[in-house]
Formats: sequence, C-alpha cells, structure tokens
Amino acid sequence: MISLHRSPSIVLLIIVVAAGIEATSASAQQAPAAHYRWPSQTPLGQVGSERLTQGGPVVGYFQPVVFSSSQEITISVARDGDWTDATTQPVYAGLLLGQTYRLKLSHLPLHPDRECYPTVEVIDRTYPPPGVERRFPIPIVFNDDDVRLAVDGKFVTRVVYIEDPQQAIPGGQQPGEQLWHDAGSHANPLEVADRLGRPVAIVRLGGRVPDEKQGPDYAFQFGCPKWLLLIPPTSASAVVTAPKVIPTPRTRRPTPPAETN
Amino acid sequence: MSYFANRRALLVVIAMIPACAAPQTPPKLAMNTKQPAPLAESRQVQVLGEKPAKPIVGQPLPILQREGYEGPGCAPPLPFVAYGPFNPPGIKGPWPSDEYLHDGGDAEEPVAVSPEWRVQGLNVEDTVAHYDTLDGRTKVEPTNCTYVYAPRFSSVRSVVTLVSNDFVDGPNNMSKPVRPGRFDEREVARTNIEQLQPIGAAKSLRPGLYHRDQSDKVMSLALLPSNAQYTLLRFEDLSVIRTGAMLGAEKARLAEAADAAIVWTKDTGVRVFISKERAVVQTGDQRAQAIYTVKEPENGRLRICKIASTAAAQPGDFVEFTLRYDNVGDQVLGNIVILDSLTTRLEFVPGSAQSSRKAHFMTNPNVAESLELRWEIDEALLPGDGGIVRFRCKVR
Repeated sequence: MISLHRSPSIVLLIIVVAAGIEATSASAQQAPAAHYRWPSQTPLGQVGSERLTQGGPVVGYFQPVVFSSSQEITISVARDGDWTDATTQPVYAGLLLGQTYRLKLSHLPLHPDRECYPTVEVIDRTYPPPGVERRFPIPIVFNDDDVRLAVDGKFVTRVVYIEDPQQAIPGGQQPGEQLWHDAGSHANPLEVADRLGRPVAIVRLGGRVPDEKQGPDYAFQFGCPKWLLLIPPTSASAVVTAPKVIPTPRTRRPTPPAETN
Repeated sequence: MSYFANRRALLVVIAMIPACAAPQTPPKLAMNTKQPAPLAESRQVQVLGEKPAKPIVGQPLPILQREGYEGPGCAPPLPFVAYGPFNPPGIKGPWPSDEYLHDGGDAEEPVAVSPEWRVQGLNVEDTVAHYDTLDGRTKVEPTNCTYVYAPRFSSVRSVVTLVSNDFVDGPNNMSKPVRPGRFDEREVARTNIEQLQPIGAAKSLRPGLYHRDQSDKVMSLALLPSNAQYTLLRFEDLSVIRTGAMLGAEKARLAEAADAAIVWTKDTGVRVFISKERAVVQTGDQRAQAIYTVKEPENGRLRICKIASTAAAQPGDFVEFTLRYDNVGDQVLGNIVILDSLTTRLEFVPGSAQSSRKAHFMTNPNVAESLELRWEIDEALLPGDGGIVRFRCKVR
C-alpha cells in the first residue's frame, strides 16, 4: 500500500491528471456545436461521424431524404453491392447519420453516354412532429448545372442546411424548389451554411468513377451502408389531423351591473 | 331587473360608472374619439364586419353573444386547435427552433402604447392587443405563442477546379552544406519583467449586488438587546435611514445592512400592509430599499388567444390564424386594437382578414419584409363578451 504522505510525487501526479481532465471537460463543454471548423477537404463521413459523438438522438436514426433531379436524369442508389433501378421519380429514403452513400446519375443532359456518381452524407437530423416525418424530408436536388460541372471535371460540393427563420430570405419558395447560392471556390460551403442555418447534408459531385472493366466495387460504394426505401407521402397521409378539443366550461361569471335607483 | 333582460338599461348603467367612480378623469370609452397613430402611406385599410365576409373554413364566423357565453351548447367550439412546441417524451431539449415558425406573444422589448396611441416595441412575431379601461388606463395584453413546423431547406454550393500539377518532385540542393547559423550569437533578454502595480481602483459594488446568505448564527447577531432605546442605533446611522438620501460614501456600510435585511426576509421578515391589505414587494428584497404596492383591482382585463390551423406546413402551404379575445374583467373595455407583426416567412393573403365584430383592418409593412396587421375594434366590449379575428397566410 502506498502512503500518500510519503509519496508527494504521487499526489502531485494525481493533481496534474485531475487538472488535465477538468480542463478537457471544460473545453469540451465550451466547444460550439458547429461544423465549420472542418475544412472542405475533410474525408467523406468524418463530419457526420463527429456529429454522432456530440450526443443526442442521432445514433440509429434514419433521416428521411428525397433525391430528385431535373429533366431526364435518372437516379440509382447503391445497395448490397449493386444499384437500385434507375428512376426519374423522386426517391424517398431513410439514411443513417455519419454514413456516406453513393448514388449514380444516368442519362445526363448533353452527355447521355456518361454517368455521374455523387455522394451524400447526412450530418444532422430534423425533428418533425410524429407522423409527418416523410412529409418533411431533406431535399437533395441534382440540377443540370451541377451535373454538367461534374462531368467537365469539376468538384461540386453542395451543403444543404435548414434556414434560420430569423435570417430567412423573404422570397417565396415553391414546392419542389430549393433556394441556393454559390459560395465561391475559395469559401468553405460548410462554414457558410453554418452561418446561415444548420447544415444537415453534404452532397459531393465529381471525381472518382468506377473502373470500366471491373465495375463498381464494394469500397467504391463505401460498403453499401444500410438505408430504408420510404414510401412517398400521399396527400391523405400528409394531412395533419387535429385532435378533438373538448370546450372547457367557463368558471368566471360576468359580474352583473349594479342596480340603479 | 334581470341581468340579461334589458340590454339598454345595462348600457345606461355602464355609461354611468365613470361619472361615479372617477369624476375628475374624463372617460376614454367614447369610441374612436382619438385618432390613432399615423401609419405609413402604403397601408391598406379595410372595414370589416359591415358585410358578412366570406368564411375561410366553410362555416360562418361564430358571433359570440352575451347570452350564449356560458350556457351549454351555445358557444360554438373553435374550428382550430392550439399547438405547442414539439417535446417528445424521454428526450431532453432544447430542440432546434429553426424548424418552427413562431408567431404570437411579446418577445424581447415589451410593447408599450403612448397616450397618442403610438405603439412601441412591436417586434417581428409579436401579437398583442391594447385597450382602454374605464379609469383611463391603456393596457397591453400579449397572446400566446403559436408554433408551426415549417422547415425550409436551402443549400450552398462550391465548385473547385483541378489544376494540372507540373511540379517535378526530386532531390534539390542536396549538396548544399548545412551549418548552424549564428551559433555564437548571444541572445539578450528582450523582455523586462516589471512589477505590476494597480492601475486603478476597483469599482465598489452596489448594495443590490450583495447576495451573500448568512447562517442562523448570524441571524442571532441581528437581534436587538432587550433594553433598546428609541434612538438611532449604530448601524442605523445612515443618511438613507435618517433623511432618505442615498450617499455614495455609505455604500459599504449599507451593503452590510442589506445583508442583514436579507436574512430577516426569509421567515421573519417585515410584513407590510397598506389599507388593511397585504402588500407585495415590487422591486425585490435583495437590496436595502424596497417598494411595496397593493394588488390592483381587476376591473379591466382582456384575454387574447391565438391559434393556428395546422401544426406543420411546407413552403407554399396556407396557414390560417385565429385570435380570440374576451373581456374577462368586470368592466367594459374600449378602443381595442389587435396587432400582429408577421414573421418573414409568413405572407399575408390579401382579403383574408375577417372579424366577428365591426372593425377597421389595416396593414403596414414591417422590418421583416412582411406585414403588420392591425384591427381596430369599433365597439366597446362588455364584460363576458368576446370576438374573433381571422386571417390567412402563405408559408414562404
């Protein structure tokens, strides 16, 4: 048994370790829940993985997203080492946070014989009221401009974020549309999005393509993480039904006026 | 005389109340005798209630009458339901508020109405009603806050282009000898350690900042001896005690006295009665001085409630809001004005404003590039009566 009175060096060591732990916990509490400290060259999946370590009901949650494209671009999602059937209709899917999903875009405008393989990474979730989760998915829109730039050899990074209502743009937004702006090549889109709202997804286009002979391998699809194919919300299920309210009886009776002579 | 039998007699009685109660102050309930504060030129004025407006939800507006206010089956239930923030059980908050649109209440700076009816402090998302009472006061009553789940997604794009790299990696300057540079240079001290001295006096704390609690043993020290004289004791020798004037030189001593006073206000503090009525402290007991007031009579109170037609909406959807106001006091209220400053993402649908009572409706642009809605109720509101105003918004 070690006596602390006889071992002042041990006491000093305990004090130093305790002070280090305290400083670490204090710095962790003061660290803002922001993502913009990550540069735009962050490896895929790292931002979402960091979000999982920050706590909250995010582990194991399948965040509803909807993939949509313009015109005749078809969308396929990697699944079990293969691709789902290409479709031009919006694809409703539930994605895990912190995972990277590989998609395939075909029938590109002006390049019908080429394909684009974007990646989607969900880095935060939404908190809709129960029952309307599929009605408010995160919209991932692949427009012609992004695809054209990716086919031309550019790297396109698009960060989807939830607008802060206090900083919202007064302009209207039609269903199916998404307001966006260009941050510039020298700006970190994650940082810009974090200033304007809360980033929830990162979409990257351009870069790697699968081997033409061997085809897409398992590593190219990031191990094909699990995702759920959601049924598109119908108009009937999208209606929010209001519960019945029983009118409460009033307990205060109006004061009668004073009698006049 | 029956209470509900003769309405004309009731109005006569109500009209006589200000003459009997406060003869020195003219009654302010002569409707629309004052001109409201001028609005911007771009406002739109619409008179509601003269013609039955087209109902929004397919049924006529419920005209709340006095006879049906309390009776069973007379008051029609509201067609909408009030919603609150999303609080799933078992999971701690706070939840991200960026997914909800807030409207209603009186956040940040409180709304105040000047004697000229000029409203100040009406921020975006605020919804209040101000009214006049029989004794000439103008009161402001905020509504509850409504929440609509309507997240709007946007995106930021960045495009990076690869540039061909022509740099050839290889050994470079490998034969260049490397030797230590200025090895024999002796560095001199570039920092002078000066003895720090105080550069200024610390600010003395006000008595109100002393919140230090004391134990029971200290309480016993504050007990007066049994042979106390009716003269100022040593700790009472303060200007604020003798003359009521607060001197800066006595702050330190006053702070000590305030600490003792805090101890006394725990259980055995001074009880103040004004006109045989228990008074409540108005400015807190954490300082040496305190203001005691009596509870105001509830002679004029307006309750206003705001509800939304849906709890979730997407951009492009329509949301209908209903404001229900009731006179829950015991005297008539007049000059009722309902104000609603819409948030940025709510776009007012022109022509959708309705009122169950005759009212003038006006709109005015606000700082959020939306509109500030204003209803001026023409009629006085009898005790127990109420009304409803409605409008429709499009979610941007």
